[in-house]
Amino acid sequence: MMETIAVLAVFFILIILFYTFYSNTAVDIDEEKDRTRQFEAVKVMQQVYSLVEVQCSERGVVKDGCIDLLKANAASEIMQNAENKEFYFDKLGFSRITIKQIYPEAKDIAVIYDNSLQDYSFKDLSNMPVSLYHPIENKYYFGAITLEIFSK
Amino acid sequence: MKMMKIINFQHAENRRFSCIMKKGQQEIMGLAVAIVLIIIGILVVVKLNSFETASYKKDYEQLELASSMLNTILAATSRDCNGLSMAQILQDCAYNSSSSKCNGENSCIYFEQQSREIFSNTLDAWKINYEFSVFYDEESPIIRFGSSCINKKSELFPTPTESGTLSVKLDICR
Repeated sequence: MMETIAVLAVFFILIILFYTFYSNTAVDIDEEKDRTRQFEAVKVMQQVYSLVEVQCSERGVVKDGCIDLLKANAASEIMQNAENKEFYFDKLGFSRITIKQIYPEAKDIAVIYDNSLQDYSFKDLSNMPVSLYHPIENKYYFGAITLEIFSK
Repeated sequence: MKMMKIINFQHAENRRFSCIMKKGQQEIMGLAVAIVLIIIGILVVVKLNSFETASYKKDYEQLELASSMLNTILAATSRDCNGLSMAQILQDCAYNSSSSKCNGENSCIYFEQQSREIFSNTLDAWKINYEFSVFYDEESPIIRFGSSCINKKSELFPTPTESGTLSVKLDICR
């Protein structure tokens, strides 16, 4: 009787050791995947924030955190053109970038890039405040960039 | 008689030996149970640690969010205050808070109304907790709204005025 219990105890110890090793490996892989996804998201966010196609500039000097509304409308057509799709895919991957005005009036301005996935397994949503500059009216509006990043 | 004594002695020895064996088995069982408990403890610690994964994206977002919120608000042109920027309205608030300049309101009230509207359409809508304040002395702020928190990322934007340095501060709760 005692021998059977001792053998069972050893057996369970072995199972627990195996499970510990397996779960640690699984956690490492999941963490690594999550880390890679987060780095990718931060990289895309930085790319979006410094897109020269839409950035405000005055006499060649770039203004950070500012989007030129006239450039945004033009960039929307250029960036979604099939010819340029590959170039922007390298930079922005599977994502959708939308510019919205929040103040003084709330309205959608443009979808400047849309390469969204229909059958995604993970979607990451980020909102970043940004100044929207209207060069004709010479006014700055409060806006936001909505960035959706899709993973397969 | 001698033979009987030897047999009795052997029986007593056997009983003592089996008693020692039983004790040994019990000790080994106790050891096995202790090891199983230690391993379960280690498993629990490993599992709990695996939930505390670092969020690089969240850290980056919060850091960027605080500074870009303040920069964007202060740069924004007001809706109906003679085309002044929010930073200019704030400077006017600091300079002469009693005069009516913006749509019948004094500049301090106007700045607070407009910034509340912006925050409700952004951070409130995005479900991010924050505390926004404007002050000379942090203990007695001119404007303060949002909910205070302990664990936060802060951004301070000092604005020079005639009465001293006016600070605009945004805390993003983690």
